[in-house]
Amino acid sequence: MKRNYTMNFSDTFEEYFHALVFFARRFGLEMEECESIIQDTFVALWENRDNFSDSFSVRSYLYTTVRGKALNSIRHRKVETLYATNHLSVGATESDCMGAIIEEETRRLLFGAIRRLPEQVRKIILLNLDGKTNQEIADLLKISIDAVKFHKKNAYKILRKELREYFYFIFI
Amino acid sequence: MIRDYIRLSDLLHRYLSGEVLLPEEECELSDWREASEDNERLYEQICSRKFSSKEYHVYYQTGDAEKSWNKIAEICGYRVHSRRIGRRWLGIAASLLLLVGVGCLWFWRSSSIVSVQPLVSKIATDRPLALLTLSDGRTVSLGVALNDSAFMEKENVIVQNHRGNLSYEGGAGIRQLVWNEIEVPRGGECQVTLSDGTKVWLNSDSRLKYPVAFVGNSREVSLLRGEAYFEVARDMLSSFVVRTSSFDIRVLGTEFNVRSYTENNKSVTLVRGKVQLEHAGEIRHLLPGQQGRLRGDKFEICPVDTEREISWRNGIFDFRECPLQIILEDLARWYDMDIFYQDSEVRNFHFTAWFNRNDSLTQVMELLEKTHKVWFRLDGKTLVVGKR
Repeated sequence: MKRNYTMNFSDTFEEYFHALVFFARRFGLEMEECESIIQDTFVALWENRDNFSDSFSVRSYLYTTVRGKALNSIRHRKVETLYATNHLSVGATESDCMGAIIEEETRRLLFGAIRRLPEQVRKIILLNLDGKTNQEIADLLKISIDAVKFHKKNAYKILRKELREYFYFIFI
Repeated sequence: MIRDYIRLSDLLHRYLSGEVLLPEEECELSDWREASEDNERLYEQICSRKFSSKEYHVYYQTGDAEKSWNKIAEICGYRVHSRRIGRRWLGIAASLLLLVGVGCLWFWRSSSIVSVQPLVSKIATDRPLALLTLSDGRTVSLGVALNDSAFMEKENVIVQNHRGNLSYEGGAGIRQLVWNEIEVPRGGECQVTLSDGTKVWLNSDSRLKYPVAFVGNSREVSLLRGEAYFEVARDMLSSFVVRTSSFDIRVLGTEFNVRSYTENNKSVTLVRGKVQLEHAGEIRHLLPGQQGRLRGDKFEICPVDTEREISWRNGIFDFRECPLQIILEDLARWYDMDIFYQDSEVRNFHFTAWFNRNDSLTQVMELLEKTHKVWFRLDGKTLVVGKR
């Protein structure tokens, strides 16, 4: 059935904004240009909001649109200033584009899940990402080592559930 | 092509998280890896990726999300504040706008200009969600856009109206029952918090009569018509009673849904806790997940999918193997229209369908027509249904 999916516009923005900034940046564009491309992209998404049957189509739409707009503005700039950027990576080949999307999606899913953790738990997980031991984390946050272990265990439980399919061995 | 990449990144994620892929998915992934050296390199890169907290912080500081959002919201006319308002209210507001849209649609149709776009109109703000009748006979119409207000009832009871959500406060010393009645028209929805903290959600075309404050050990309300979801505040000393035309429902503290529309559409569904049902002198008990209902004169209890029974509270229509007549009764209440059956036989056609309450009527009709079993025609405020 077509109508089962309703997009939450502001949530979609929050979820994808940063990933799209990084994605657009790979085309060698200035930050302001990237932001304006993303703004245009979300306006276009809004105008087409009734045409999406699932979040998967929204995802493709966002990346496709940002990519198209980024390529446009590079071409535009080339014509204007006869200056060819030599740090293009994504635009160059399809395989670069694929790599960029896969990397951005990986990061987006992981960071998004961490972001939704309760504050104290998030702190512990972030320190853990930096390779800190339980003892080091306990000292830094001035809590007991048992508390660290407890929070970590809970965090993994949440993350595993949150990330479902995306929980990989980033945490050892 | 980007679609393929996204699909691929999902496959990769699932694989890396240790999920067992379907055989064809596994083939897809290994085919991709073998397709080129670049792919294999990327695969290894993703697998060995290490993240750091610094990267996390930089990630969320890159780009000015707030500035961008404000711009987008402004261009799209998306209300920035609505991000903080509960979804439910957004839903109701949207439904109301849509209703007016549908209303406009009828209007346009009758003047032979067909416009399928739901119109966003300011008129929506004037449409009442419900009509409240106070004990002295005064009536107050409650709408989403009306400013918050408060009225003084008898015995120092204060009725708060917050965007059409009512709540009752005070009245501790009250000794005599003072009644209020709320009527939700077709297409409306409303929530009332009673003086004991019990919350009641009222569906379209419903009427509830209740005291502004409960007296003594008795808590009694009457659902004169329609559908309501009760979240009863626990009070071990006094049971809560809902009277309807066919059932008396007695509970201590629990959540349940009551439906009391037409003859074949009367039921009580228990979500949590325990309730006692009384019909024509016969007393039965319900457990969570059970529904008590009347089929003709028969009083029966059977297991149901509670999620579906109360889907209206989540802004959803969820019908499974349901006779068209029942489906259209629900739709008629929500979209405020009458139904005319060109072929009576279609009443008993069964459909499984799922849609949002803020979908337009046109969308819903199109969906049902896709079955090629029925057709619909909107004639003024009457929906004509026929067999295909």
